[in-house]
Amino acid sequence: MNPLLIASLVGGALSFEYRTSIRLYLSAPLVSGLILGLILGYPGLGLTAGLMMQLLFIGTVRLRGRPEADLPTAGVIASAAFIIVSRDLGRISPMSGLILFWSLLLGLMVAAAGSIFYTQWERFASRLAGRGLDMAAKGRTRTASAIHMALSLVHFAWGFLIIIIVLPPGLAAVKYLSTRIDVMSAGSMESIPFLIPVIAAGAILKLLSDRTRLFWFGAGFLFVAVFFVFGGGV
Amino acid sequence: MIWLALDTVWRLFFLQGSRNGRTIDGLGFFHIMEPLVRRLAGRGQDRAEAAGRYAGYFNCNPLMSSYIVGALTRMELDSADEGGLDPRKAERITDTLSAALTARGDYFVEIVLLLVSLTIGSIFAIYTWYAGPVVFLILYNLYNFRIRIGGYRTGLHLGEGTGRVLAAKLLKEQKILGAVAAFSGGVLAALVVLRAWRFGGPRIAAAGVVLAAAAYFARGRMSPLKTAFLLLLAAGVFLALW
Repeated sequence: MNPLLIASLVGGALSFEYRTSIRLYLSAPLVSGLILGLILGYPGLGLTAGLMMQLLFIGTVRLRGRPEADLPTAGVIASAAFIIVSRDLGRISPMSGLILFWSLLLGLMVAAAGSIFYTQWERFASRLAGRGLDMAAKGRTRTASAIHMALSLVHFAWGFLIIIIVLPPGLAAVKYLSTRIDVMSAGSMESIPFLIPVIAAGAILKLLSDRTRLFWFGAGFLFVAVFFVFGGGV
Repeated sequence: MIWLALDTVWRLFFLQGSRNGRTIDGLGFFHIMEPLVRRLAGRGQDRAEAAGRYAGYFNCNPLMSSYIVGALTRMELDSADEGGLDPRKAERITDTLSAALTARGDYFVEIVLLLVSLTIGSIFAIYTWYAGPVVFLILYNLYNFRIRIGGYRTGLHLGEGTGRVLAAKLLKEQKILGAVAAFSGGVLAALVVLRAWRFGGPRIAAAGVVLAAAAYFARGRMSPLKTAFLLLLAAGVFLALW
């Protein structure tokens, strides 16, 4: 099957999984990257892109009533772009930093688009959900339930459509930017997969507000540092 | 009873499908309560009246809502012979429980459970690749299923008294899991700094630490999306110029 179609179907399914609150977290980029990688035949590449996208958002707390980044689609599109462009350019290495960088940026743009879409959608859905509740109050309970499930399908449609629309031009852009800049730049972009996880450490630390947790954070840090010094490295 | 439970439990996993700005998860909550409403109607209660008790505003953590559904089901079944639950009582129980459980549940799920499972999963993913996502899924879903399915059962068992029991139980687990999350966060921090040092020397490690400090100060002041954008761009610019 066409990789674009596969990525769109996976994106739709995972968007549905997350937004309806099935929420087994198959839609977490850490997992969705691996799933897409396995389907497209490059699990290592998929996992790398998914892990990096996940680490950029680790420690993020969703606040009620505030728009949130659309991570399920972002994870899928970043992984798909990384896998497909790496394969097309013949650079099958999880450490291909420049492709990874542009793929993650593409993913973040889709996350922003999703955030805007859902802010608008939740306003629009108020009317439809209100009608459903009116029907329920009149005793038409099955119709009300059917409206609820029909509204749930919008999440699949959004995940599917955003990926199938954005991915083709996105792939062309990632490919262009990766080859064009690669000619001039040094190989230093290869450090991206090493730099992003360090950023994640700062975000995790932010969540540990009380002394007890800071103590345990320090203990974990020291444990590895001592193991590194006396145990021959990590 | 078993059919009612099964028909309700699968619906718990679709609570937020029709989320909206006005009634939040009101329609999703009704969708969960619909099998109970049908059952009550089958026992001679007026369907519209029974449905009206659950056709309104609802805003609760999706995992914790299972306790409320269980508790309300128990109370409805207990009062079925007296013409059904008083609508004001049903509303009061829903509001009180959802307010109390949402605060606790959001903290437990977002700040403790997700953090600990994602951190441990990421450590495994960095070093042993494919084990990472599997470890994350197992750790998270162990609690996910326990809270959702076990929560429904607890609610069904305890009825109105669910809130107090649950709050005490969560607080205890929260402390232990919070310490595990912090410890694994420390392990991850040390591992990634040392790994960056090994790959790119002190300069990359130092750049990482500066960006980590930026992430620390940006979180809470900016949206997570903006923070991620800016930090990724900063990392890219640093590496391109280096």
